[in-house]
Amino acid sequence: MGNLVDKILARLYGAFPSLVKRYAKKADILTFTETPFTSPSTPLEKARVALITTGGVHLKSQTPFDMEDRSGDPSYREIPADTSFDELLVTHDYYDNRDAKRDPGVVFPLDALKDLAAEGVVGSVNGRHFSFMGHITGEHLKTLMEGTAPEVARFLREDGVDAVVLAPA
Amino acid sequence: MSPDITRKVRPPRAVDFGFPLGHPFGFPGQRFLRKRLLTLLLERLYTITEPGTIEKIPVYTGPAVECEVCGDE
Repeated sequence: MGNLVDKILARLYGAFPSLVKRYAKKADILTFTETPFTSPSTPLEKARVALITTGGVHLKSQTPFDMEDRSGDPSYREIPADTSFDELLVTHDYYDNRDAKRDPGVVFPLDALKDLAAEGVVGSVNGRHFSFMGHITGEHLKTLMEGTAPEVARFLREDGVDAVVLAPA
Repeated sequence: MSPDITRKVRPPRAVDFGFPLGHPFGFPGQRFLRKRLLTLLLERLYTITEPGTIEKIPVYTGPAVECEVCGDE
């Protein structure tokens, strides 16, 4: 029943932006007062770029994100750059994911990033990209902030990534 | 992408294209548009210098309004 309610709410939020505004005002969303900031030292045409989506995207062969836990799922899935969209699924009940399921590029624009690399707009596409499920609350926030998110950041640094595009679903 | 939520989270830089929730890169089948959006985003890496800036680029303004850079496929 919970999942059905979540799916209905997700569709309403997608259809009525004013509801999202109200939600953002009232919900207990983690709020930061400072912003980490780095200026890029590599020109775009030489930059290695990676994607992070919070759209619940994962390979068909990977364990789907946990939709039973009401606090969400703070884990992540690694998605190799050579993945095609027909190898991907979307598991995330907290936004209207019907379009993302039809075309994962809506929340995970790997195809477009490859095009930009082929055209020389960016230097290269990183060999791996990452996906989270963007509904994480309660005790899972600590896991995300102290565990999985820093881990992904470390991987990207090890890969020599110059820029990361975060696509929040 | 919700600019209201983004304001709370304060990422280094963000761009609000105006798409509804669940559509940070537009709608299905718009690969060319995605390329444009991704290019605009990546260019902001070099032009936004104030931490926490959310730049509004109204690519999508509602289903009743034609989007000039959409739907080429």
